Formats: sequence, C-alpha cells, structure tokens
Amino acid sequence: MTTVQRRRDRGETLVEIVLTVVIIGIAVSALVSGLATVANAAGAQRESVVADTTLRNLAEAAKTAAGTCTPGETLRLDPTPPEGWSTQVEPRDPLCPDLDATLAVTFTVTGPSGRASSLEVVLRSP
Amino acid sequence: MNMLTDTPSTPHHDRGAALVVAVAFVLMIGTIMAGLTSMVTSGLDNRVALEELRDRQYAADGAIESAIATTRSAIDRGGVRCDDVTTTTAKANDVTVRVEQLVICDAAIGSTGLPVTQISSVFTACRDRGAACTDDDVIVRALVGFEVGDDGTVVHVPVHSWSVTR
Repeated sequence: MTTVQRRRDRGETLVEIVLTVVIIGIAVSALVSGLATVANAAGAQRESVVADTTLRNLAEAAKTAAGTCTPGETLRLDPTPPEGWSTQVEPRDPLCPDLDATLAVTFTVTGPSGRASSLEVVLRSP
Repeated sequence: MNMLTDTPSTPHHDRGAALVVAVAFVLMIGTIMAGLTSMVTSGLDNRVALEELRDRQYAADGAIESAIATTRSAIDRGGVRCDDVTTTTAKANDVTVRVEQLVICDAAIGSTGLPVTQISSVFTACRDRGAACTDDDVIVRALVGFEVGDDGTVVHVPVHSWSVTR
C-alpha cells in the first residue's frame, strides 16, 4: 500500500468519526430532551389522577353528608386535600337544601403545579 | 487488522461501519422516543376521556336529583298524575342532561291498614341531543319511590335503584 493510499484511509476515518460523534451527540440530546418531556407529561398525568380522585372523594363525601342533613342546617363537609394541594368549596359553608330543592356545590382542587380542576355536584336533602 | 499488510479490499469493508452504527443508534433512539411519545399522548387522551365521563356522570346524577326534588314538590301540591311522562333538562359541569320521567302508581296498604296510592318514578338521564333518550345513550337510570303521608305530602323518598350505565 502506498503512502498516498494510507493517508486517504486515515482522512476518511477521521471524517467518519467526527460525523459519527456529531450524529450520536444530536441523538443523545434529542433523547435527553425527549425523556424530560415524557417525565413532565407523566407528572402532569399523575397530578390529573390525584385531582380526579380528590374531586370524586369530595363529591361522594358531600352526597353522603347530604343524605343525613336537615334542611337549613349547615352541610358538614370536610374538604381536606392531599398534602401540597388546596381545596375550595363554592358556596362556602353551604346549608342543607329544602326538601323540594337542590343545592349545587362546586369543588375546586389546585395541585402543586397550580393546575385547577373543578366538579359541580347537585345535592338533595333526604 | 494490519492495514499495511492486508489486501487492499479489506479496508473498504471497514469504511462506513461507524456511520452505520451511528445511523442504527439514531434509528433506535427515534423508535424509543416515538414509543414513549405515543404512550404519553395516549395516557393524556385517556385522562381527558375519563374526566369527561366523570363530569357527565355527576351532571346526570345532579339532573335526576333536581327532578326528584321537583317531583316531590309537585306531589305535595297534588300536581302529579299517574302515567305522566315528563322531560326536563339540567346543566352541570358544562354538560346539558335530559331527564325523562315516568310516573307509576300502584295500590298498597298504608301504615294505617287502609289502601293508599304508592307513587314511584323511573328517571332516565342522557346527554341532551334534542331527542328522546335511547338505550345506547342512557347515563343514569333510577327508580325512586315517593311515600305520601296522611296529609298528602311526601314523607320519605326511598331510592330503589340507581344504575350508572356509562
């Protein structure tokens, strides 16, 4: 093999390695940013599940409380949220509805990221 | 491999090998990312669907509760007739629900030993589409009794069945 041939082989290998390093670099950075996006989406989904569970628990607790309340008395709700979450009830301190009426209560839960979810429940005195 | 002693054709086999590996690596990463993205997108879509379902079910639940309260009030005023079929709509959680009600009357023996009229109602709730509810789009179906006291007013409202179908 002549000196000229050897030099040509070495040059091609260097270009090839540089190109490979660049391609792998791009792929790895894409992978890292993709994994970060997936992790964020998984966090949002987990928060959404907790919000849904909390809202359902609040709604069922309110329906149970309404099943034993007397019209005109304060409806006893215990909107204790999970740690890091906050709960809002509208109207505040609602009264049990009259026998021929209903009461709409809206629960709003806000997660650690600040995303809020609401659920309206209609309650009736027994 | 000794590049100086091998035949000239051997280095040609090596040429591009690293590039092929890099391309394969990129393809593998791309496949993994496509799978992950698809999984996350599908999960988020499912969550949205479940939240819509929850909103719909509680809206239907509330619409029937309202219809029960209205019926109770109507019975107290003597404004309910046997075999009446009425339709009402109610909105909650941004979902408009249609409630169809059928009043069923039957004779029963009251607490005084005298025959009394027993009033029950079948409530059927579905998403309001401007037409009658069909079996395929019923959200909640409930059978509720209205026990009427001696003074003609409702004294107790027992819920005999409450089926959430979708």
